Amino acid sequence: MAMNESNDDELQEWLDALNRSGRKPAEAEPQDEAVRLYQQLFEELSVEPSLGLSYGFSASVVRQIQLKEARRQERQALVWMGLCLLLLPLAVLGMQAVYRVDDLIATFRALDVIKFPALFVIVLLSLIQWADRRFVRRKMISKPS
Amino acid sequence: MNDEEVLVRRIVQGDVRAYQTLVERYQRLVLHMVGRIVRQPEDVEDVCQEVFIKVYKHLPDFQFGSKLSTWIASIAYRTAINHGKKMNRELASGFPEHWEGQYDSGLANPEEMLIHQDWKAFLHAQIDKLPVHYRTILTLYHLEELSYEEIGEVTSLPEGTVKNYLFRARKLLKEALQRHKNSEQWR
Repeated sequence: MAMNESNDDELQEWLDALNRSGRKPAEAEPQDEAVRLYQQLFEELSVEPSLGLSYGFSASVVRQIQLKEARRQERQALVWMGLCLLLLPLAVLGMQAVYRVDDLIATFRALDVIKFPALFVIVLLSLIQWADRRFVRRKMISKPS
Repeated sequence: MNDEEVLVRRIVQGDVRAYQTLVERYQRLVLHMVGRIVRQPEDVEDVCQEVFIKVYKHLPDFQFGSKLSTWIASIAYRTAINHGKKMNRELASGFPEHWEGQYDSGLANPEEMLIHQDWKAFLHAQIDKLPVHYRTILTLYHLEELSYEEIGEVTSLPEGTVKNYLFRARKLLKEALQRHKNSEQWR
């Protein structure tokens, strides 16, 4: 059937309306070549593609999100730690002001006595925090539930 | 508050398991969209994963101004298009001019008719040749049963253009199918 543009559009509209209402063209309705071809086309376009996602796709997405979140928290913790270390001298100066110790050298001399244990505690705490986030928390997230 | 709003609220409050439910609910929609746009089958799952990571990131900004499915589909559409642009420069320019002429001459190839003796395989090969907008609209309309308005929201195209592309795509496919059937009769 030679069909002009408007007839073709009308035919598509008609089949669309039938499809959306879940009806099929009745025998009495025009069954020419164009109708048959469009029907075949409409049916094939509504068929679910064979393409599929892997079985644990949703769980894998959640794990990716948790890992990203863990990394973000790690970065945040590192920034806080850096800030704390920077603020440490300020804290020393603050203590000096509170205890009215005018001599800065005397303060440092007092701190000098505990410098190694203090450094050891700071480094140890930082390492524990880092190892916990890097090896324990990340591993817990990576494990499929 | 409906079920979807409760789910979104739980996710925004940090319930990652609730997000797994959302992924399971919409993974079919995202797969259909991405599968139609991304040409490399091995990349489809990665792009789907990227879509859901973006959805999670932007979920706190979602105000239920549209349906959640439409919003997710629009993210899937943009992500897949961007992936396509990275992989294939042809997509970057959107619609190639004189595209329909190329499409018609492509269909007249007798070799292809021989390869795809099965009309269904032939039809799917022709769908793959359509421009990305046509393929997306066909999928959203026929497989996801979205309205013109919703498809317009997903693709950022006016409703009239959506309808026009849909009708043109189907007409082209019907003509291709007709040529295939005619060639079968002569075999």
